[in-house]
Amino acid sequence: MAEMDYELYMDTAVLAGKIMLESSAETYRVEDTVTRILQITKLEMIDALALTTGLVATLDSPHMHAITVVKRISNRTVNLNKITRVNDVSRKLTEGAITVEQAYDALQNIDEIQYNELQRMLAVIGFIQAIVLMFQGGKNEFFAILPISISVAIMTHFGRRWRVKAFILDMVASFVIALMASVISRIMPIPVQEDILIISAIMPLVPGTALTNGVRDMFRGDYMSGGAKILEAFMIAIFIAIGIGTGLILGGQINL
Amino acid sequence: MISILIQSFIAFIAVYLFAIILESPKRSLFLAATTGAIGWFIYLVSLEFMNKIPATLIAGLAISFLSHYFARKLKTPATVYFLSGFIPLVPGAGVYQAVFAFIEGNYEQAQMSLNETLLISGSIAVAIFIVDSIFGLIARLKTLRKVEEKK
Repeated sequence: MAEMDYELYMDTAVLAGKIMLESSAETYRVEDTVTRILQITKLEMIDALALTTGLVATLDSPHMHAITVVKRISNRTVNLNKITRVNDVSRKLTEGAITVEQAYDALQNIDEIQYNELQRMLAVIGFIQAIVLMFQGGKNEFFAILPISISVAIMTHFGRRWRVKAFILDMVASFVIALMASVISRIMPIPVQEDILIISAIMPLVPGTALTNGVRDMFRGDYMSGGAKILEAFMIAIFIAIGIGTGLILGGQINL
Repeated sequence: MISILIQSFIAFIAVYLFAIILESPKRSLFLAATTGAIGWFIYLVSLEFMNKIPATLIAGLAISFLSHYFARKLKTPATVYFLSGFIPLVPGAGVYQAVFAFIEGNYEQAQMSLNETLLISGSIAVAIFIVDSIFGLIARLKTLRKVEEKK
């Protein structure tokens, strides 16, 4: 085999890890992917350490200088499509179906717009409308929640565009939800259950993603990442609680 | 029974849309929604016999199992199905009830709601853990067998 370009392998592996961490993949999956890509070089010493907030990988053998790369991860969103595509690329690369150059190119062009902004907003609205029916809401609640779900969709849209931190967005959104719900349940001529409105509308905000991923990391012995994610889930839950609390108190003060 | 089926269908729509919010790959949307719908169906059926916490555990086991199964079938990471499938079970209602009771000054009720929320989260965690370790064990046994065959 010709002389291997170790640095390119390293770049590819770290890029793959970075994309996965930024899309909120589980830590063990990131470490696994990075190690698999590095193992193609068949060097003696290969190590990868992924945390929720950063990534370290190293490649070493007695015949060369060690290559070590540290990558800081600061922006995290949930993007399952990117995780799946990185997974595909690394699978093909380890099977030998594509070369490392092709893999690097593929990783750099990983962005794919699957759903446009309007579709995402409609998905949020439709999700809340469906959740109302699942949580024992009747047709009164179904219609009463429509203004709330539209405003949640608008808020999450701008929150993502302006890169607002998740827990601040969740606090503001749940404040607006509680305020609107308490006002709507009083001005509507039909009887509406306020609690069903609030419970359904906060569902897109609840930290289910952080909780599920954190638990999976924790049980694999990744206490740092798992702990960080579970802490994140608690933070978001507390901020949602603060938002709902202030919204309910303020909504109760408004006399109509 | 019919109302449970209708509910499961609504859960299918809800989970499908939530999968879009999470940017799931298009080829996985249908199976993710199926996972969520079956999970919600099992949850509602279990609720007829027991309270919320064991019902969440049983539904969680089903969701985790299906997630792993579909992940292997479609060669996608299991997270794709986990994250959207569990969303109907996440205890958002408990958080709200705790806050509401707290504002009313009913600290006992607030504590109870909080405990329930923690227990539901815990049973989701246990369900994920059990199925994860079963599938992990199967994968390890398979690699062990391969190594032995090579010898």
